[in-house]
Amino acid sequence: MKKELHINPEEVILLKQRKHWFILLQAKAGTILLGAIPFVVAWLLLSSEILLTSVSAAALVYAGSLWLLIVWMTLATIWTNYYLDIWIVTDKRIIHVDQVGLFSREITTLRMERVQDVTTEVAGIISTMFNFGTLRVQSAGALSGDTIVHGLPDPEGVRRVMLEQVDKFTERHEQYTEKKDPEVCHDTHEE
Amino acid sequence: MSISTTFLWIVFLSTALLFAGYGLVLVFHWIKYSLNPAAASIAIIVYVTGGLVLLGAMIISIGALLL
Repeated sequence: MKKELHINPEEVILLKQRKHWFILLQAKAGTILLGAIPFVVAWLLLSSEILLTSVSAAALVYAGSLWLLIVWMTLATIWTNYYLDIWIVTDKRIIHVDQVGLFSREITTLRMERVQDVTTEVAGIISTMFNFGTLRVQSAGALSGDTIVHGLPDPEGVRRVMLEQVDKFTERHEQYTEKKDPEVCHDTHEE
Repeated sequence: MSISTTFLWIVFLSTALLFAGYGLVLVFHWIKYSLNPAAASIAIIVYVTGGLVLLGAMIISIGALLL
């Protein structure tokens, strides 16, 4: 499987989508809460009547900074996994880049002529409020399964763009077949 | 320099090395796989700035302990 993404210069990018920001927020929420711990501890110490010596204050700043640095690196990792997950629709194909982990990356390419059906699902209050959901692309061929993307913003809009492109592609393909072999097409119509 | 300060320096250096090493891995990903060089540059600046501020706070607190 190719790890790098190549888009031909003659290929027109119709849509470039990342997962919804709420998905990023959901993934980061736990880490952000952990990051708040040093501030909560500092606030508790300052609001209580415990008198801190300069030594203990410095030790607390040190421990807090260390904690926050680890949180900072974790947040950077989560953002990287989010940012490098991308869904691209061009006039010829659909490219789904899935950054599974820092050292695990999957790129799925689906040519327009192989797309059979596109279904979307927006389930739940939050998904409905922020308009994000799951997009499932069914493709032809025994080896390729469905391509599923969760947390895609405006899944209905993405579906519309994709189906328009599939229709255009089918139309062009039919025109090409008719030009190539008009008699066969004519006979077919007569039948 | 007391044993505890030495320990703090060791932890600081290990953390700084971890931050730098891990940062190199992240920067590699941002530069190689990001389709937007501007976003990659901003990510590098934010990551490095945040890390340096926190490492700076660690150095200052060790300095305060030495005084």
